[in-house]
Amino acid sequence: MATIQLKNVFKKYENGFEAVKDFNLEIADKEFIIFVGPSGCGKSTTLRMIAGLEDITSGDLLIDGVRMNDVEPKDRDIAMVFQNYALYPHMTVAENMAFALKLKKTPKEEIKAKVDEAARILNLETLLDRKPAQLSGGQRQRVAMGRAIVRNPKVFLMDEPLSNLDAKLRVQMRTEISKLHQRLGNTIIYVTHDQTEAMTLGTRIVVMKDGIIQQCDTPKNLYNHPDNMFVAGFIGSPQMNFVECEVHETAGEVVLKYSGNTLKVPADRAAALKKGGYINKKVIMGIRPENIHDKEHSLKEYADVLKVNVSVYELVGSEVYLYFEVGGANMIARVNPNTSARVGSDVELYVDAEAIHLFDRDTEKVIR
Amino acid sequence: MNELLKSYEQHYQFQLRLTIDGQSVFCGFKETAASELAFDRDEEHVLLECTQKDAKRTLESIKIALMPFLVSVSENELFELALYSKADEHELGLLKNKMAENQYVLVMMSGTKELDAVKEIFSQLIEHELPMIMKQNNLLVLMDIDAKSDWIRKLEAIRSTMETELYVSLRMSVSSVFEDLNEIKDRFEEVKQVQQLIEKYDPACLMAEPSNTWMLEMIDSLSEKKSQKMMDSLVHGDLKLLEDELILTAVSFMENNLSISATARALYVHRNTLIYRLDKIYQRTGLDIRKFEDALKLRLAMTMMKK
Ligand SMILES: Nc1ncnc2c1ncn2[C@@H]1O[C@H](COP(=O)(O)OP(=O)(O)OP(=O)(O)O)[C@@H](O)[C@H]1O
Ligand SMILES: [Mg+2]
Repeated sequence: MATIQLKNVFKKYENGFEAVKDFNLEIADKEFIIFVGPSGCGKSTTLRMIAGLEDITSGDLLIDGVRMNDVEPKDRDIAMVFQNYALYPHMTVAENMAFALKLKKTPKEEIKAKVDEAARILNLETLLDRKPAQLSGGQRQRVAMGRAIVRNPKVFLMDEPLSNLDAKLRVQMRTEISKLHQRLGNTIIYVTHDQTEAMTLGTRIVVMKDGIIQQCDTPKNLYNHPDNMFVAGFIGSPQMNFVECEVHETAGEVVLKYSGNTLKVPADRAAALKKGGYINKKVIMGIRPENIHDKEHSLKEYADVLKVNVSVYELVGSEVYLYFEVGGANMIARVNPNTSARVGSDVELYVDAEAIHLFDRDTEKVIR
Repeated sequence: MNELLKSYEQHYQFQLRLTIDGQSVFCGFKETAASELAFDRDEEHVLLECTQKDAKRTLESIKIALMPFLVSVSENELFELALYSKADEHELGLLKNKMAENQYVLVMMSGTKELDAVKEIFSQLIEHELPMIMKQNNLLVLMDIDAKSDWIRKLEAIRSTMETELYVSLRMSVSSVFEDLNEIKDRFEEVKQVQQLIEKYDPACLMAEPSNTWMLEMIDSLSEKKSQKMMDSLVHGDLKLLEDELILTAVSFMENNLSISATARALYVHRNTLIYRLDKIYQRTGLDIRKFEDALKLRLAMTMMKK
C-alpha cells in the first residue's frame, strides 16, 4: 500500500528561484504516474522533494496519510532509479544488488531471498555471478533496477531512467518496466520528457510547465481533451496544428473562418463558443496532423476540404507527413503513404471537423 | 648494508625523512642496519654517509632496503602532503606509482553530512583504490583518468548512484586535468573555487567542472561597480523585469546552440511561439539573441545579475 499526496507544495531554492508552485496531486496505490514537461519545468525537483533529497519549502507531503516533510529520506520507504548510474565494478551482479542491504545490516538469509526474488523478476538469475564488465547495456540497466527492487519500497521514484540508452534498448526496457510494475504492484513515479514513454507507460500523466501542473489525466484524456494549448502541443507527435480563426454565426450555424476557408463547428463546441461570447472574435483552432486526411485516399468523406500547396514531403516509416502553410501558419498532415502528393503539389485535404479543439487566444485555455 | 657503508672513504651527508604507516618518522642513521632504521625515531635526521661518487647508487640500495617500509606509506598521507606542497619529488614519485593512469583530476564532494558513507560507497564504485582525504565538509579524491575516455560522465554516474544508494543530495566538483603531481596544490585551489562559483551562480548544477565555470570566474572577479557598469552597457532595460518564461526561453535557446527548431522541440512550443518570445526579448533588452554576439551579451548579463 502506498498512496502519496502532495498538498500546496512549493519549492523555492536558496537563490530565490521558485521551481515548483502550488503542486497538488493525489497518487493512488499501485499507480504508475508520469511527470512530463520541458526541461527545467520542475520534474526532478518535485521527485527529489518526494525522496527527501530536497526540502519542501511549504506544503505537505504525505505517504499513506503520514506527513513525510521531516522524515529522513532513508525512512520514507522509497527507492530511486536515476538516469545515470554506476555499478560496483568489483562485485558480482548478486553483490551489486545486495550491497545496500548489507550496509543496512540486513540478515544474510533475508538479503539472499530478496536478491533471488529481484533476479527472478528481472531475468537475471543466470547472471548472478557475473561482474558488470561482462554484462550488456540492458543487463546493466536491469541490475541498477534490481538495486532498487531489493529494497522492497512502497514507492519507486525514477528520474529519466532510460534516457541514456539507445533507441532500441529504450523501447525494450520500457516494456520491461511496464511488466515490472504489473508484477510488483508498487506505486511508481516516473519522470521523463519523452512523451511516447509517458503515453505508453503511465496510468496517469502529470504535464508540467514552469513549475506548475498544467493537467493531470490518463494518456487518452490528455490526447482527446487537452485543457490548454501547451498540453495540446505537448501530447501527440507530430504536434497539433494551431491556426488562428475568426468565429462567425450565420443562420444559427457557428463557423470558423481562416484564410479563405470556412469550417462548420460541431454542435458541442459551437455551444461553448456562444456561451463564452466568442462570436465575431478570434480563437485558435487546434487540429492534429492525424485528423487531416488526403482526400484522394480517404475512406470517409468529410465536409471540409482544404486546398494547400505542399512545401515538404516526409516519409516516416509507414506514414507520410505533408507540410504546408495556411494563412501564415505552418501545418502538418499525417496522410496515407500512398498519397501522390509531393513537394510543390497542390492537394486537397479533408479536415475532420469533429476532431478540432478550440482555444482562447489570450489565456490559451480550451474553450468548453 | 653495513658493509656497503663501511667501505666508503669519503663521507657525504644526507637528510632522509620517512613516512611509515601514515606517520612521519625521522631517524638518525650512521652505520646502523637498515632494518633498524624505521624503529629508531628519536633523532632528527637520517644521516647517510657515503662517497659522492657512489651517492646515487647508495641511495638506490637504501631504497631497496627500505622498500618493506616504504610500501606501507599511506597514499592518503602522501596526498595530504602534496596538497600543501610538502611532498618532495620522491614522495610524489611514490604517489604516482600508486596511480594507474598519468593524468589526474581532483574531485571534491560536498553537500551532505554523511561523508563517511560517501567515502565508503565511492571506494566501491571506482575501479581501483585512490587517495582520499576529508577536508572540512568535503571529501577530496585524487583521481587518475584516461582523458580520452568519457570520465566526466562516469563520475556523474557515480555521483548519481551515491545519491540513490545513500539517500543524500551530493555535489561534485572537479578540477581541470593535470599531469604533473606538483600541481596538486593549485588544482586544490581551483576545485575549491569551482565549487564556490557553482554554488553561488548555478546551484542547480550538481556536477561542476572548470569548463562550465570560466565565465563565472571572470564575472566574479569584477568589482561591484564595474559589473554594474558593464551590465548597463550590455543590455537596455532591467533584466530583473524579464519574466521567468523569457529567461527560461533564453537559457534553453543558448543551451540548444541558438537553434530555433531544437529549442522549440525542447520547450515543446511552436516555432512561431518561440520566435514571438525571442522578439519579445529583443524589445525588452535590445538584444537579438539569434545573433551570437547578442546571445553572449545576454548570457553575460544574466550571470552578472546573479552576483
Ligand atoms: N539547487 C538549485 N538551486 C537553484 N535552482 C535550481 C536548483 N536545482 C534546480 N534548480 C532550477 O529549478 C528548475 C527546475 O529544475 P528541475 O531539475 O526540477 O527541472 P526538470 O524538469 O527536471 O528538467 P530536466 O528535464 O532538464 O531534467 C530549473 O530552472 C533549475 O535550474
Ligand atoms: Mg530533471
